Amino acid sequence: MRRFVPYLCLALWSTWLFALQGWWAAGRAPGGLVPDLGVVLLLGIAARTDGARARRVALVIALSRAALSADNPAALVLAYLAVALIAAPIAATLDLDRPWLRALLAALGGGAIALWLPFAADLRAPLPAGVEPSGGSLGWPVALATAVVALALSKALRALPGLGPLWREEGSWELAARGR
Amino acid sequence: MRVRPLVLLALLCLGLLALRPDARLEGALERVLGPSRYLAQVTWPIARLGRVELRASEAAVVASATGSRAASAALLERWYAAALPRAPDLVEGRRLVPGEVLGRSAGGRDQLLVRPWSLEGLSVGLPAVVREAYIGRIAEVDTVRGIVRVDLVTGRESHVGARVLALDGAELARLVVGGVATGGRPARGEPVTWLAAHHPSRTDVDDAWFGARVVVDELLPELDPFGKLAAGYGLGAFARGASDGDWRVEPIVDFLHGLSSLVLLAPGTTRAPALPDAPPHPLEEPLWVAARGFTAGDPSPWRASVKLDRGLDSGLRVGAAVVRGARLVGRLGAVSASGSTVRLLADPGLELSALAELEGRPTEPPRLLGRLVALGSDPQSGRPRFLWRDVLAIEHTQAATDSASVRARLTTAAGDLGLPAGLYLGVAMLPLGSSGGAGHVIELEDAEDALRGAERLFVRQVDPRLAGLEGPP
Repeated sequence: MRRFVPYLCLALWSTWLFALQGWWAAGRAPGGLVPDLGVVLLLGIAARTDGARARRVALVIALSRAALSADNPAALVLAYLAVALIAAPIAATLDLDRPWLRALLAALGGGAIALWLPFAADLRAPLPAGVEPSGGSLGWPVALATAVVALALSKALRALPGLGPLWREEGSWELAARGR
Repeated sequence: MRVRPLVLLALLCLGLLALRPDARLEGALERVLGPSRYLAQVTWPIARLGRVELRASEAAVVASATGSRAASAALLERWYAAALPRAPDLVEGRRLVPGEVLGRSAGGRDQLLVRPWSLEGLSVGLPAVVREAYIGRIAEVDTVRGIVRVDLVTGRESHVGARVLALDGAELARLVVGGVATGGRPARGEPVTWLAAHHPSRTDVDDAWFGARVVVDELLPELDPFGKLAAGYGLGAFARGASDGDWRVEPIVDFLHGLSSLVLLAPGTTRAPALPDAPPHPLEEPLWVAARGFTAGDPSPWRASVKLDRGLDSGLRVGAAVVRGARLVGRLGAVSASGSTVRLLADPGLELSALAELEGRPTEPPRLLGRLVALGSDPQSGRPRFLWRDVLAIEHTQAATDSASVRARLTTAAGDLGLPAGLYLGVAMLPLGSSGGAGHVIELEDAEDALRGAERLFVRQVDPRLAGLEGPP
């Protein structure tokens, strides 16, 4: 049972983060500058955990977002799992806590999800002929906002109460050095 | 790092599910996600953040609802009146029964579900018209639900006898009209659709015939016992198809998106004594359930949605109208047992039918704009934008030939199950003149944030009499 408590805490925190993101996105964000807080949280944890746990974290984050969004849950789960699958091998070889690497990955992840979701929605329920899918122009603003927030808040988000058991204090290199 | 084949398989399945919807799997996923909806409700303080600043506006909205409802009711009354035929020879000897189009039948786009103001005297085969245009005939009278089904003349099996008339009223030819003939798909917009014409009495067509009026004139009472009632009603203009001998009729109504109200013709004497009372305004029907929005917005910046705390258990269904006061704020997108998602007016792809009351043209009846498709909000102003396919464009007036647009008050039009007519949408500037098939982009000027300050929303339940009726896929 104790194994599930950190995931429950993760679900609670990520739901609150997505609620904040939704509040910011609802007509308050200038120029579509809406950070993907799920990606920031996921990369923060993925930097200090193994691939299997990173995937479970991605699943919880995606379902939390699905609870608040009109986007298709399967598209959301696929998007965050893909970020986790890409981040895990990078975290095993490079230090994802380096600010610029973290910002770069966050920008790529946030931007890709911002492009993927409108694309998936258009394929699922095609817009009437002649209507251009919207959202395609939001890739850059979301990527930029996600990168900035990842620089500033990634470590703080993973340090939220209850999330400690999901990640370890040492980075990959410290772990490798200790093993030697 | 090795990724297990099981994970890859899961990704593949998710990809398929994300791109190819499957109703059963999606339903199962909704049930699995049920608990997460409750989890989401704990975020309600964030939703209130956006409401505190304008709490006072709630009272103003409720107060203005009465005025908006009265204005919408007056507009609907004028709209129903506008659907009545005027020409004395088309009214004489007929009883007129107005009806509201509820939506399309599950059988396809070519059958309408109609709620007539009265079922008295209605029977299968009676013609249905919009003003002076013939659109089809009654296929079924459902006295239990209080509705009739109308087979449109666009149906594959539909046909009606017709005459081609010269300008002076002389008969040029006879033919049978029914079904559709489609043209090529333009670069933008939907394919142009005509009514198909068959079995012409003459084949020596003169170029002067094209554009001539085609009117109903059924010669065989054994095929259409009520054909005489529809005689003289228009079908459209005679048109040439892709080749010689390919004749078509360019319709005078938009069969796809332009049917909101109609008139059923029954045998009778005169119009005035037989016209029944209009139905109550949709907001006065006991079909609205209060709901609370517990999110402040959608985490996806390109979407506009809100989660509600009511769902299937409260009688709500996909497509239901959601109002604040008398103003439509959106339609239900997804509905689970205990919750639902409102797609707000700015959510891209949201579709609805609209009526427009043009400012400065008090003598004109309201215009049916047909289908509006949401394009999201304008990045600068935040106003919801819509694509309006101007199948029937708004023309310039003699008084103001130089203005490019006209201000209009928009309300919903009937034609979609769950979305009744007469709900206030907002004010918009409508471009004058035809867009040439591409459609015009319009903005709702006074709907930047219709939800801000809202404590309660009201969602329209399924009318118990209409439960089980679904539109075409």
